[in-house]
Amino acid sequence: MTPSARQTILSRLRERKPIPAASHPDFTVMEQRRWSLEDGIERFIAQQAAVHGEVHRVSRDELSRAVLARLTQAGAQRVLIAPDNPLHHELTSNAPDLQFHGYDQPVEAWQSELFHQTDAAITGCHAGLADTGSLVVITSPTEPRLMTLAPPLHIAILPVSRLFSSWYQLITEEDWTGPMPTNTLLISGPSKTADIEQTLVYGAHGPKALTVFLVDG
Amino acid sequence: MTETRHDIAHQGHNSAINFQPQVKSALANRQLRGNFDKAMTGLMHKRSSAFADWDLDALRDLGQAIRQRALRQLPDLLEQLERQCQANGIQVHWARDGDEACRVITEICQQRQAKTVIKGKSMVTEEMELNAHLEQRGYSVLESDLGEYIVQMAKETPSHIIMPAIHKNTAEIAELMHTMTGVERREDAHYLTDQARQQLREKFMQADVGISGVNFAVADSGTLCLVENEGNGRLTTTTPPCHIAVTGIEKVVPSLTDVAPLLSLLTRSATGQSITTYVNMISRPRQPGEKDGPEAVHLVLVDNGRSDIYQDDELAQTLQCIRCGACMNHCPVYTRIGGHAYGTTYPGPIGQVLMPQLLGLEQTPDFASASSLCGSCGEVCPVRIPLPSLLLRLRREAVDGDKTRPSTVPGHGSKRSGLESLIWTFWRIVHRHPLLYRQSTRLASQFRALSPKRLGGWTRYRSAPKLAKTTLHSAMNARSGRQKP
Repeated sequence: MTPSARQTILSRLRERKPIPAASHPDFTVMEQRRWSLEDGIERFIAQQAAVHGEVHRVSRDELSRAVLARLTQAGAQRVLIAPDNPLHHELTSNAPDLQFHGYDQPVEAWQSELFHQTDAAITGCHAGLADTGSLVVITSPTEPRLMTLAPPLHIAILPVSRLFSSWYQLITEEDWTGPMPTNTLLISGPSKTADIEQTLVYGAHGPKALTVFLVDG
Repeated sequence: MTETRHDIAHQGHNSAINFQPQVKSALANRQLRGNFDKAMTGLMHKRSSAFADWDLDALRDLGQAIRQRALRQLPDLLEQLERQCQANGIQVHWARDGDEACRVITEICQQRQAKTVIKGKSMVTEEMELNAHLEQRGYSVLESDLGEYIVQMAKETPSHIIMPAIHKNTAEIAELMHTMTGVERREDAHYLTDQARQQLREKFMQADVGISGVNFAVADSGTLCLVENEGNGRLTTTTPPCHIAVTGIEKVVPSLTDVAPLLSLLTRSATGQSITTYVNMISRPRQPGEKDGPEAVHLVLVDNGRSDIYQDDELAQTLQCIRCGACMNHCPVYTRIGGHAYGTTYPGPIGQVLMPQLLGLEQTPDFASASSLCGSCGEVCPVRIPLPSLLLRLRREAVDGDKTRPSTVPGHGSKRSGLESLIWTFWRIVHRHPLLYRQSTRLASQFRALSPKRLGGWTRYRSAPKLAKTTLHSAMNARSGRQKP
């Protein structure tokens, strides 16, 4: 029997002998990237701003009013929000003229609607990263993958307590080794491209705008 | 494995790459040179400011150590990756070369009765000419990265591994999109991007299969990391019911902890961004209760010459590459001739080192020498691949005539010429015998008038060196004679 591609490749790789010793990676340069809470917040805001992301720091009490103001400003009508989002009740009861929906059926059933008739999505985030101004999003059955991608406006709610200095800090503190969830994302600003003569254009295939509400308390 | 190499060499090029004429025409194209000069200058500035608040040397040391450690455990890591992916529900396939990878992918498409394929950016699929393979078999294949979309419309290949359409300016793209898709001929990047967004949205929804590359494959979690700005990569890997990820076998790292520093290096080195808009970590197909994502995820691990490169301790450093493109952005040769002149999938310094090893030195005779050895590529490489030393190594490989020294580089000794080796043999003998040396140098200076005015390529842009009237030895003797009392 002729060997499989797998066998051929692995045995060819194992032909290399001896394998020289490798130096041990020194992660100090990554560990050094730490900011105090206030400096971290400042950096997070600046880094988001550098990629057209908008950050508003608000208290928990102001949150739903601020989110509604942003939706009104964008002229959003149809808005996606998970039914288990803590803001769901406040928003639906305070804005009867907006249509809030959950992403509650498989995408195949309403793909065109999701892509063409949804104006905004409101999601939570797993964490924020000061170093690069990134949101860490772990998708879930109530906040699926396309929720942060298809609608033109993405509004993300990030508690200040979930702000980390860097992705490296988050990975090491939470021990991201071994099995991972289906889809985990780092999101930094709205989608963009510079493929036409390096002219930076926001709103390539994903959201055209990203607004983060950084919530105290 | 020699056969495999042979096959690769014949996929795209039946004879040696026509480098020199392509360089000439690229140099004569002022528009092209202007486009590249502007873009590369900008990218160099962006890169250096992106690393301003980093200890860059320490970070590059770390990047190098991570890549080297991963490569040293490569077969074990690949097995771990396979095990972990399978446990996560990702189907893993292996392919010895590009043709085999194309066959594997076609079979998956057949099984799914697919008609349309949408692609995210992937250099390894360019390497294996996957699009042509699928199109010949009746599949419609659409590139979704804006740069790749433009290049595909123009029926060209990418001229840069990160910015495929960098050789075109806005006016050229406006004209192209107008002709091909009927949009207004407007020289406005915002308008053109928005038009492409609308055109592609429909295609994403209709596609049966999404094909993407992989930036890092994580062995301990079975995670595929994709780095991008546009969101086309996320759509490609989420919307169609089947996702096929294709990667070279060298892209595997032990854990996500290793990805963090490599990511810091990758995006800053490539485009001067501290991070891309999206870092997409895919670990499994759609799970029960999840509302979107592909029901099937496949990973195709492609060797295509890499396990041969792996055999040589020095050349194996080529496999450390994380495909940032910084070496080409900083290369004075690349900046002047652009990516197409190389005529291979990977251009610039990394291409000059990788392609001769994949295609053979006889196919790429000018690659190792098309460098001023200024050293910029080695200075900026985020994982410290010693590109200038590797270019020198390949120059030696091309003229080496020592049959007793086995070489893993295909085309070893292909540039060796009888006259040149004769000259060097004579040179060696003369330098070993002092009497012979003095006599021949004396003779040479006596007959200096006969020294040739033309010395092949050397004198095309320079005047030929002229021998001195007296040899250094006799001059020194005369001098010490004078100094004696």
